[in-house]
Amino acid sequence: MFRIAFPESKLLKNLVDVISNFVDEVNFRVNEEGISIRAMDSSRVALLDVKIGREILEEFELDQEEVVGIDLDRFEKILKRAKAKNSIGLEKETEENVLKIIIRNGARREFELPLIEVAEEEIRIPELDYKATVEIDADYFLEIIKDIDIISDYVTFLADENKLKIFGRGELGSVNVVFRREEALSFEVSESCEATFGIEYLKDILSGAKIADTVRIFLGKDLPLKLEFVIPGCNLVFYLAPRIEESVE
Amino acid sequence: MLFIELANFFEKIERITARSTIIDSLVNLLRKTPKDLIDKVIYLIQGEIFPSFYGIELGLGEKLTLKAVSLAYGIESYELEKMLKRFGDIGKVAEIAASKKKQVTLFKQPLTVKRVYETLEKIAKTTGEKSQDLKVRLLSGLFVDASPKEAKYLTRIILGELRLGVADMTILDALTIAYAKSIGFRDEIERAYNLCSDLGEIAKILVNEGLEGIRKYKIKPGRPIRMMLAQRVENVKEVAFKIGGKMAAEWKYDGERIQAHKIGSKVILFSRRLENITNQYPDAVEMLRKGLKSNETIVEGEIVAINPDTGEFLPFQELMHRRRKHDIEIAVKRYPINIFLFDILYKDGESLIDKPYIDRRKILEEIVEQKNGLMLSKQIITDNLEEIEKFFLEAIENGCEGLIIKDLKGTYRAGAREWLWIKLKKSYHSKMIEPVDLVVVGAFYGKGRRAKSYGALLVASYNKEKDIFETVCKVGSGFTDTDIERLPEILNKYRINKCHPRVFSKMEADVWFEPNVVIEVIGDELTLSPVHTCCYGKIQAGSGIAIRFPRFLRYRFDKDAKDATTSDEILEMYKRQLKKVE
Repeated sequence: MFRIAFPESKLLKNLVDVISNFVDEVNFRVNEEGISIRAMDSSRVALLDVKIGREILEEFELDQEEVVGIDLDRFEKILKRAKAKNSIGLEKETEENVLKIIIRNGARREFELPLIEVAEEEIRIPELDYKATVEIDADYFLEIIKDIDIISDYVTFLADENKLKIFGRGELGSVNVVFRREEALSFEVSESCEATFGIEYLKDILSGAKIADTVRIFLGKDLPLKLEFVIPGCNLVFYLAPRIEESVE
Repeated sequence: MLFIELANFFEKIERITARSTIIDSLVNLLRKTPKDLIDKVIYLIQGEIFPSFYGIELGLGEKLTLKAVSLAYGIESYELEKMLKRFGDIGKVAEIAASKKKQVTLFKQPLTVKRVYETLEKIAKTTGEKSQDLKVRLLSGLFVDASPKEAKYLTRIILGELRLGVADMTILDALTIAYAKSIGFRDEIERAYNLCSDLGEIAKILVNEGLEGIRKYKIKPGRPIRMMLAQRVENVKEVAFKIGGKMAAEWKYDGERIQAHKIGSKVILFSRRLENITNQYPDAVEMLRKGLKSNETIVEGEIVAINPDTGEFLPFQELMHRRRKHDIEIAVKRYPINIFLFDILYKDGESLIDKPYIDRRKILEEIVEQKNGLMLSKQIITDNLEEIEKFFLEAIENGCEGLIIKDLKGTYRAGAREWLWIKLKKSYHSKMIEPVDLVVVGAFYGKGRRAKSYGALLVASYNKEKDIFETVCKVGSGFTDTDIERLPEILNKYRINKCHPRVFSKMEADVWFEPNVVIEVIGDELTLSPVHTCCYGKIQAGSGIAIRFPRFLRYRFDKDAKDATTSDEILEMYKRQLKKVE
């Protein structure tokens, strides 16, 4: 059994939007610390790790850990009925196999979403030896990805001791964005490194960037990209496997 | 165990030809294989996922496999198809696609043999409306984690194109060396293999129970026994050197050999190659279910296509109409069959294979209720070679391939080709290349659709010298429904109550006619026959010349009986086309 409530719908709506870009159904795990969600896309290229701390929840009542399997498409449809400032409650009784979703805007609108069985594969979070960590404004990041998207299908991140360069090249030209050491919110580069990623996956994460203040970019040569979106009361971490030009023969 | 170890092994085997080197590599691989995977690894080496007698298919063809490759490596299907046209080898296409892959995954989960096998099992078990999509996704999941080499061999396994050419006997050798310590135990292991036809099963028993388990191994209904085969001789005289005294001679029907397993009310049919062909013969299943008076039994026999109107045998090719997945009911109706049983290997918990042939036949006779097309193979027991020769010609003329001569004391030697069974086939063949005009001298009543008319006509050639008519064959095929309807009208005015004095026949027809009506007939070949009288004794004492698989072409109302093809002309045709059978 649990009873929780978000003071505003915006955070949950954006998070669900991001998650639904990668999977169709997912398990929400509710425990003493809050809510955690882990999702990997079927091609195993991208991984999302989301933690919502109980401190930002308006209400938090829980008798034991619960794992609820959710059909994201249906869940999203219900969430869309809430305006950004409406509060959202999520409730589940121990024996029941439905999730109650309560939208409050004066009236109490209660939806019931049948829960589903979601097969869970144990997902280990990769521990990687990153050579560069650069923190920038999340809005900038959002704009950069949108810029490159009009030119190229791929984004290359390049870090050296002086700068972080994010660029894309395509048949129609190229686009380069450079953050100098002093322009970044934080900047640590122990070794210059470069890696390239498919832009489609990065576009899928942008709803997360919208609600984040800043983003920490972790890089290593041909390592998966790690993006840590800093959102109050919430931890959204995104891993993305690189594209590697393998020489055959 | 990683799948790449298996892929490396496949690659190595493809390059070597020396059997001893293949065995060494196999032994190495088997020793590395964990107990719980041993059967699976053996199946994969054989290029299979399940033993073929399970009759389980993956349901993935070339097109769906390419789709999975496309999905896994982000290469458009049309590009893959272009590559396939260029290389002609889908394994190679998958290999190249895998090597072109640019997007890597977060967690490369190495492919294990277990994962590959379990996924393939899941693919095979996925059925229903959306199954194609799911099969493709499951397969694509394997490709995602496959190296180019793994992708190549995975593709070949899926499409049944692995073809390493590692023979069963080579695998048995390797199993013996790897698990039985001494090659001396090879025969015992082979014995068990012959009883179940499943190398994976044998390997599993060896690994888990050792030689003890192998020695205890018994026939299990549902698992095919490797079929006993016959040696071949050219003529009857040779048979006497191999089998002395009394022997059994059986017609060797020109059909499909089956091994039928009856387990309660369930019947499974295995082909000569031990494939599960139950679905092709729902009628045979029904006949055996009703006609075998034993709860659990394994019998062998021949399924033969028959002409429903005359009951005559049709050539083996007609059974090919049964090789289809859909509309089998239509084929069942149009191409009916008879079953001729000739052996029994197992009955209600007891193996019969070590009993002498003559005893097995007796047991078979006891449990088979011969009716509705289920019969025992035609057989004689004799030590007289002339009698066998005559029986042989009779078999040939009736559309059989020849005879199988069996040692009365012979046990059933599973998987062996020995002199306990000897096949006697034609060594000469005289092809019939032009039609002949023959006189109708008698007829046989029809069955089924032809119940109101005649089913077959007894026809004869004209012997000018003696001015008599000599029978050549019974014609039951080639008539249209209208032809058949007209038969009584055309023939009955010549009807007489016994064989015409100028007709020389050794056959008893149902109805006799005055020689008058002439028809044009073609057949597959001219053959010697003990029952037909054309050129009687001219080629061989006690035999005439007959037409095998004769077919009616048309009426020749323009011809009189004496204008029919003469016996001398038929003798000439026979001699001109006589060739040794290769």
